[in-house]
Amino acid sequence: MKKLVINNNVRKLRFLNDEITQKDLAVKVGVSRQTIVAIEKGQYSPTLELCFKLAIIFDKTIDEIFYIESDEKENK
Amino acid sequence: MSYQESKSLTNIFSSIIITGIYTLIVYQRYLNGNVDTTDIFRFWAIVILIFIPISIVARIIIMIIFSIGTAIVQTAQGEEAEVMDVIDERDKLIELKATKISLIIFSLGFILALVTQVINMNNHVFFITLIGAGVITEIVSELFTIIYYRKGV
Repeated sequence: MKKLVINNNVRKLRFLNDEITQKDLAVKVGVSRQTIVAIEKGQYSPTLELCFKLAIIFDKTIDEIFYIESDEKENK
Repeated sequence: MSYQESKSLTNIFSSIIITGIYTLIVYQRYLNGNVDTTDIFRFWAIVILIFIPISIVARIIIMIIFSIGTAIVQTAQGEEAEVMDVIDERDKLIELKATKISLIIFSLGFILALVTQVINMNNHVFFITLIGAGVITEIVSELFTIIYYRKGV
């Protein structure tokens, strides 16, 4: 199976949630700001636990935050 | 450059500087022909056992200076000082990968050290190869840490 390119809407969701900063989000989910930066850039795929934490913070399901790159293109 | 990348670079430089200075001192004192070659293992045991605490203390001092320097730079740039001692899942993953690489490199260094004995080289060469492998291992491991932080994991 081909390696999946996973992307996310974290940056967009941050702005939709009162423009929460990367630093504040990092504190809320218990990681460093650099990790949030890496997630937003698609350089790091977080663990399921962190995905759930983000989902709780943004009040979304995990697949509303993370998606496979090709799926997003198909949706567009 | 992020805090973790700067920290890795500092570790590389401190490793080179500390080992370099200590090697120079040991060489000047003992290895330029003045050493008693009858008890090489005891000599190297003493050299390594002295090096361990010196290295730990020097690294602690360098890391304190580094942390102070980082805080000063952040303040000068008008940034709020961030809490940098948070080690999260990404840091642990990168550390794990770097540790795996360092184990492979040190194992190769150990094999090389054994080879020096098989081809009847001086016993000093065995220990110098081991110490050299240790330094190279640390440098490469820190370089990979920087790469993982830059390119992602």
